[in-house]
Amino acid sequence: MSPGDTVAFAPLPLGTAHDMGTSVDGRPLFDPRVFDSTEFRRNPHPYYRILRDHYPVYWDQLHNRYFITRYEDVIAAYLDDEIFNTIPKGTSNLVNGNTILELGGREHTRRRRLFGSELAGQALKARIPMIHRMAMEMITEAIEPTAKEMVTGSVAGRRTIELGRAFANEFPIRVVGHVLGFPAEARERFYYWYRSMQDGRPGSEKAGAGLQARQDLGDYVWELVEERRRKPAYLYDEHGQPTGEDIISRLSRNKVDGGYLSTTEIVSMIALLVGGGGDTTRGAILHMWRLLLEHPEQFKAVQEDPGLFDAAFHETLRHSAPVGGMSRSTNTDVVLHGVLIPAGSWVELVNFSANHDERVFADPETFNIFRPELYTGREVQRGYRRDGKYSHVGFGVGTHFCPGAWIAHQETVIGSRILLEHMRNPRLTPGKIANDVHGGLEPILTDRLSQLSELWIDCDAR
Amino acid sequence: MLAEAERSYEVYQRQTSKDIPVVVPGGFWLRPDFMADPYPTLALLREHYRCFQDWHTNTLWVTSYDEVTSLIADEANFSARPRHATYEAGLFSRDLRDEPPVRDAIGLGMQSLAEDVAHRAADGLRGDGADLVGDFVRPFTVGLLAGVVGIPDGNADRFGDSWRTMQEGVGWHAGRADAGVRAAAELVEPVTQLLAAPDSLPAPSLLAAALTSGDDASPGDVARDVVTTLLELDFRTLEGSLANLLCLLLTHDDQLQMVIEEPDLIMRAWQETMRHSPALMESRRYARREVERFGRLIPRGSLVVCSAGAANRDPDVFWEPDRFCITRQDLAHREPRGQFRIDGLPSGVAPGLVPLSRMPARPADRPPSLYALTADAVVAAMTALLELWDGKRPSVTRQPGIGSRWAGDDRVCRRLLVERDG
Repeated sequence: MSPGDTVAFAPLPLGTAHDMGTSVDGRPLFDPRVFDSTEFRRNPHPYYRILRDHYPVYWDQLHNRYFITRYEDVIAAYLDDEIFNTIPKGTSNLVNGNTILELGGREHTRRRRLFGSELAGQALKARIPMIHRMAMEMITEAIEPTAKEMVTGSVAGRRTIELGRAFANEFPIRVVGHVLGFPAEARERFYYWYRSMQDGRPGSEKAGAGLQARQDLGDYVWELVEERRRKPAYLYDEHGQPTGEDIISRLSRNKVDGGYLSTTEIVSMIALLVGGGGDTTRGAILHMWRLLLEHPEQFKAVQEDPGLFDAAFHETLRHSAPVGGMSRSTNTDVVLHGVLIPAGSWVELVNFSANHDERVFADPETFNIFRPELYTGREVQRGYRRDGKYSHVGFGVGTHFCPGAWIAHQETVIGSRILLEHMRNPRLTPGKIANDVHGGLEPILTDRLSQLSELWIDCDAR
Repeated sequence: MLAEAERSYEVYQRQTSKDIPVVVPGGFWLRPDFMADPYPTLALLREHYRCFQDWHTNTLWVTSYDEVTSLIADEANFSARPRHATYEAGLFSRDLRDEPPVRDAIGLGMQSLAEDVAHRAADGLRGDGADLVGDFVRPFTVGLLAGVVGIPDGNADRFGDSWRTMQEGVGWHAGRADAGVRAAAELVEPVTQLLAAPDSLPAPSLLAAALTSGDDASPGDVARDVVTTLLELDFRTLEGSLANLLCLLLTHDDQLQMVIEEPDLIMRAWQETMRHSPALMESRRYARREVERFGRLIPRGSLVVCSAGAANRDPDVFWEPDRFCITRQDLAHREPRGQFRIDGLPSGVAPGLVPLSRMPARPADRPPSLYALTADAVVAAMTALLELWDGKRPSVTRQPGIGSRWAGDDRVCRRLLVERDG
């Protein structure tokens, strides 16, 4: 039972919010216990709309956080890393340990450079054949008629597939494991560690298992780091030419501020990369397929022109971003919209809300891959706000812009194109989606992941 | 600014997670079982964590007696924030409690009025049955506060309702906060009217003293200062501790009998109540800067909850801490100093009554502390009751309880139904 279950927030039709009272000055009141409720997890947007319209800076005294919810304010805060600093060390995910999410300035930049360049630009271009090959292998293995394991039913010419188990759960992790330089024989354990650490959020009942998994990962990586320090391993392009050291080798062999990174720090980096590159991309794939299949006319357009997968990817991250937001800590007292945020306060920059801000995106609850105001080009680290177009903030903006944004985009689009080729007449399995969407999650605040637990798809047997 | 943004690598390396697998769930203090009885959970925290990080509510919890008392006293590194800071309203202004005329007026008022107000409240209990909290504790507290402020008798009840609503609005609940703002606004108007006729104000009174504290301030401005002062002035400890004292005595016959036979034990009974069942269960402190403590880095701005409830039942400090025993020898019997100790003995942590004096004795020219004033008021109230009972103790007609109505609420007895024996 979550704390919010102590209060009755009964499920309402999507898009409508509970009446929480009205203040003396006529504003709707906001009960912060709703953040802990199941209702909020399944139906957050009308509540964020109240905040955007009436409390653009909302002080949640129950959870001791400030929420910034309007698009322009969220972007401005992301870009102002002098006032809105990263959260203090030791205050993010306990299981991951200290990560670059908690670093600022040069400390952050020097560490991010060690791996960031491997996930974008020319290095990414060299990775694309590998991504394609991995996706093809997995999808062929899972969806082709010979595959028994992932297909739960095949009756009267219909096949039923759970897209997560068939593809999306593991594909991003395989890619991350490859780019990191994890040996293939450790893949099974790697996936187990990843799953346990993702589930082992601080304060949850699974935190102990998450810490144990981190310990196991650390023990394994310890030896790997020692080995790579002596002898680096390389990544290769499709022609078998080395393109550079893998990320673990780079983390192990490069000095930062005059010294090597400690193994503990390398483990934390790996844990962050695995978490950041795993569940988020998985979420993007599943969300995008759900949304497309829920909008058959748009899906048809994508079928006819798979190049629209890029727009679908951006619109998915706007409409149903896997990451709800990021936390910041104020370096100094700051007054925003008349609200004093004292120095040292915990501030939530709510991506969910910014992406649904009516001030920027018309009819924001509607999924529309042809949305004219949405920028759908290559991801831009400092965001895009020009010519009447706006980028979504699903990847954040600024210094801490998701370093895996470009590779996540490629994984989603390449994987989806291959899926499209292998699934004939895909459609959502009737009766499955309502129970599975948003089911069985921990209480959500903005920094948590929004996930589909499963996505069931019917398609015609070939 | 840039230096602030870049925390040192050395500190980063030193900071390692000291948390152990969780034994209490995140957001534990929001749960109904904690509100019903927080002590089992607080004991778990005290046993397993020097400083528990509740990720869900972004708070750090400190629970052992020595850690709690040292942290509350550590004003160099941790600060309290005023109650009115939780209201997002421009209604509140200056807190006058430390203005010498106001401080003197509060002290003199409480000392001179407590006995009389207590007898008046006790007179209201002359029937056979009563609710000791609703019919005695609340009228006594509100009557005393109204008298100290200088509110005419006829307006005391309405004043009390507004004061209570304003106090209950402090905190996270939007509806109560909104009602609190309304109540505060409702208080300003009658107080302004009273201040506009200074010659009719009783002396000493908080109102009369407040007029001397603001240079050429209008009655409206002074009224807002007075309302702010009323919000910050702790009478909740007086009301809550008196209610809890009565509840505990009436449910512990042997202890009540001792008090009836030896009224000098009232003070010790109150001190034991403050330890065993403090009305205000916690004191909130914010880190002024990054502090390395409890084996971890506490970031600047962190909210540290110092649990008085947990500290007061620390078995390393108090023998059989769950037992209510007014004659216990391991509890300070005088007003505590500094870190809640005196004569080498610990006292119950009472968050509403800090800061405690660090001086060994009170200077002759200063009024007693709020701790001493509250204690004297409780003694006056209990004395009036004992006189009324005249050796015939009442019996409880329905099992009373001490509890909280919502997360963060005072933990007090709110209903104590009794009837007179014989």
